[in-house]
Amino acid sequence: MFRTHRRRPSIWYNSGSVTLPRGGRTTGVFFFVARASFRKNLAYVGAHMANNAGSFLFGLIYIALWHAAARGRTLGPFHAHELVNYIALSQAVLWVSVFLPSGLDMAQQIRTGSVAMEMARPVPYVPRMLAAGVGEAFYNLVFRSGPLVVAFTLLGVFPWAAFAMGKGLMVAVALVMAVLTGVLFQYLIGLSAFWTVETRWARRLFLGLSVFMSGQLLPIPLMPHGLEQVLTWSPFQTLVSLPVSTWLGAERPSAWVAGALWVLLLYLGAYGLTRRAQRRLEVQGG
Amino acid sequence: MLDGWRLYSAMARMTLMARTSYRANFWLSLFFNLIMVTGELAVTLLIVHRVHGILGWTTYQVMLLYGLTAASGGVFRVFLSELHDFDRYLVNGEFDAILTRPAHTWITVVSRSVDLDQMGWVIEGVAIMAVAGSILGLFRHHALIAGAELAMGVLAGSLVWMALVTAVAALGFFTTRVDEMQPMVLYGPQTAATFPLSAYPTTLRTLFYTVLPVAFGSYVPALVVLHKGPGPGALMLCLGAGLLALALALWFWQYGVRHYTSTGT
Repeated sequence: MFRTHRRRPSIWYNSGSVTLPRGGRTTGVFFFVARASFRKNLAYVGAHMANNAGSFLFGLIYIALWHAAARGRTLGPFHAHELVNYIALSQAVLWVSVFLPSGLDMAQQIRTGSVAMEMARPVPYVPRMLAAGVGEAFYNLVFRSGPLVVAFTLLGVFPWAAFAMGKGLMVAVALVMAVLTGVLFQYLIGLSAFWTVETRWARRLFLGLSVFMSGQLLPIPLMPHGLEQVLTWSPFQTLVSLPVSTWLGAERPSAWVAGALWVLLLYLGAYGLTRRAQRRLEVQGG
Repeated sequence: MLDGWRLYSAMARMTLMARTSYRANFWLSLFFNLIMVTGELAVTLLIVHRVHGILGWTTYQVMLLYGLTAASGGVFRVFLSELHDFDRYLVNGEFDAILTRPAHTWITVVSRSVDLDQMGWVIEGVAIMAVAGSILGLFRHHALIAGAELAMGVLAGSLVWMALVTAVAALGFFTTRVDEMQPMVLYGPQTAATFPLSAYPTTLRTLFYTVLPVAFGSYVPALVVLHKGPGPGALMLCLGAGLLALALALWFWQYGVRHYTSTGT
């Protein structure tokens, strides 16, 4: 059940049934970490399905609202039925970018002091944690977004018709950017525990801002003009608005530029702050 | 009943005293709650504003509805926070110790914490109701009556949310995991309650009047306060529905306790 490569320590990543990578290539390690992160969630698939029902209910609520409020009308670049499609898509995308484990569970490492051991490992800490986050996002894509896509398809509100094969690559890139932005945000939330001990507040701040700024419930092009301009350049639009708008063919070039810039900035920020955190790190006892 | 209340107030007073030692935490939580509430409220109002009202409900009327939901939802977050985080009792086997106490298990659990950090929901909900009510002119002539109606609405809503959080925690006796069911039973209905229920299809409306009776916690009281149909007598119906829901939830809790199996951890 628990297979490990004999020449490597078995405490690399506490993730259940895993096989450690052969050879010493760093990319292999990151893939291994992501896969381990994916697999550890498999134990909770049943419980996650109950949560999916909640997400489906959220989707139904906003779909019904937009259906009732915008029936037969065109608002900004969206027809009423596209707004309904937008909500169905955004509910699925939220799981790979916004609803990731709080702070990538780093607060626990920091509270217990095990972060010192984690940082001392021969593989860089930042990309390793990000790989774990990507694994979580991939699990969510399959077991959280997947069932929602099926449910919304059965309901006839998932916009398969709007998806053209030529756009597939663009949508995939937008989704990757959404995942990276979401994982980087969670990393920074987790890292905040070095200064604040707990990450509850940072998580709330992130969720509060993302409800408003990511376009998850109200598409950014429907916001008042000045606000729309500001939000298009915010990192939050990459989380939901960019992939959903790309799918629906309503994305703007500036949103791509802003998204790419923020991924880079957030990564540099994560790296710089981790170095500062490492200097603060103090381990008591033995 | 009286013994239960005495026990609750004594234990709640102790946890309250312990919590007030961390005043910075309280102010910090108020600030971050404010950001969350503002974000949610802004999206809600922008949606209504963008479509020029939802089925006859203006932006400020929806704002009042939001305030009612936030304030009543805040009450359960403050006083029943232990039920909200009930997972750990089941996963870590902490509920075993509760069973050994000489008091009702529900009272023992809920009295273990009064989460002042969540008070922001109540304060901000009341403030939102006050602002929306003033703009709508509710307090111009019969301020006391409007205030009393809103207070009854918050009370009815609190009972409904207490019932729902109790029921979902009791479900945990059979499934162990509580947090994964909360979006379906608590957060989804809470979001639904911030908009006029007339916007939803019949199936959802029926759900919110029966199994998840959040209609009695915000929509019906708002209809009364805004003179959109039912008279003040409907508020008594809301209170009755809240009490009935809580009684059923407590019965379900007791049923769950009888079927509780320790995880042994």
